Amino acid sequence: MRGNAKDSSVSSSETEARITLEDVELLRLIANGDRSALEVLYDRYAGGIYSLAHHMLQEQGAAEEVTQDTFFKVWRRASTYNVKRGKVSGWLFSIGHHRIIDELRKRRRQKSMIYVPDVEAVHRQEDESADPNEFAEKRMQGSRLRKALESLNPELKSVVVLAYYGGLTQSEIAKKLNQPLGTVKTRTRLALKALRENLGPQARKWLDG
Amino acid sequence: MMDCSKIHELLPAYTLGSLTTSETADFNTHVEVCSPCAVKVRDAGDTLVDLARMVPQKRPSERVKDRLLARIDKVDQLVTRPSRPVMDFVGSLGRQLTFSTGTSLAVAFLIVAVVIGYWSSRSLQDLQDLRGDIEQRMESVAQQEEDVREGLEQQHKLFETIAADPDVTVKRLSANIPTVPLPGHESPSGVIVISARDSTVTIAAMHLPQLPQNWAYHVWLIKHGGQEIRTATLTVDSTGAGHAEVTIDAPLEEFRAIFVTIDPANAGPGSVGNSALRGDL
Repeated sequence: MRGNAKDSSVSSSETEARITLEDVELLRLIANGDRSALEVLYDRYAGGIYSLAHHMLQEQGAAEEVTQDTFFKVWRRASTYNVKRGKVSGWLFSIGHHRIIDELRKRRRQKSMIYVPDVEAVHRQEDESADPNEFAEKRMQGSRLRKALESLNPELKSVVVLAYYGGLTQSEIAKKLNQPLGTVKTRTRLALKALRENLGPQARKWLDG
Repeated sequence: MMDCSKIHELLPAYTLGSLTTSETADFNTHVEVCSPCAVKVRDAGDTLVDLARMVPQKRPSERVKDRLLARIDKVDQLVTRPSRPVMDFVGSLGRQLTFSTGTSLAVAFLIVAVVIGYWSSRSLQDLQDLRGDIEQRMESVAQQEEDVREGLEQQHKLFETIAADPDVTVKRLSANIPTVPLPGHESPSGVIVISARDSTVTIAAMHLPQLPQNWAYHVWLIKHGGQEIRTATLTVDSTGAGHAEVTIDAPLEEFRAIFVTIDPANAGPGSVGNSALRGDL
């Protein structure tokens, strides 16, 4: 219950005291109605969620709304997080990604059009960050991750791009690529396997610094 | 219901978010109760985060955070004075909680009296058996109270959804066929919360009888043409409270009603069982 929840004027010192906490600890506090813990988690991940939403929806206002909705859901559903189901970051990005996909599918229904994601656009856009060090680090990190995607066979890459960044279902991808559904399923499986190998524990450890 | 091999087949598409809404609902239902499959989903989580980090990094403006905190403040203020339909629903569950607490006290008193009686006339083995029974009863009562608390929590969350979204409407879910309630039980009922903005329908029902193993409450959306679409399975706790959330892929106007049926857990594409609840959309 959140009945005895929070004081809306949470001091910045309370927020600072939570900055060093692990994600799981923050989520436990959020489940008990701790607003400053939510603020710290927001500062940690809002950029990632917003960036993904902006890339997929191509619209600042919609990306802001999705970011807000994602963290509102985190606030409401923190008590349902189960550490056995994976890391907090995976849980949080899953909420955000599903929210973005809902938005994409709703747009497609309304406009009867399919947004074709342009993963190449990644290379034409610049990362933004107020902090130059953070900017350089994120740019390098993103570059390494993108190389892992670029190294995929074009057929596998297109399935990942259409599914993950385009929000298309397997049937829609099959129709778009003019391929049997079984082929799309196989390519999806192979693409993820290859990505996991390219981004194995060692690579991920390096990326996480 | 999906089996483990189906989960294994669909896991890559699930990770990339490319399953349909009903496939995702079935997938989640299985993973909730299957630990080996839950581990596979957990392992796929890192890939999902990596894919999200591949896009150019941008920063949301400060106003997004301000709006989020203001939204939370607004909901917190409203939660302290809920509207009447939701109060009725929450109040009903609250009465169940009070009843449960009273029941547990009565059970405890009865147990003490019975233990004293047995103490003088029965063997130690009898007492040990009785102690086992007592512990089982107390566990059962504790589980019921926990379920009621969770039910209340879900209703509060439902209320937060209603309060936070002006595009939300609430409709009644009532027993579809005349039923004779068991002594001490009420007819099934509930509410449907429809969010036009998020294209979601949340179902919260109560007084649902427990079903035999391998049977489940299925949620169906009915189109104007009569087409039935199975969307989710209603999770029912020991107090008879059920909850499900469905995201709709088609415009809401295409649907005229929602049904909750009693069908085998691994039901096919069409319902063959009885309809327990219905509500008009």
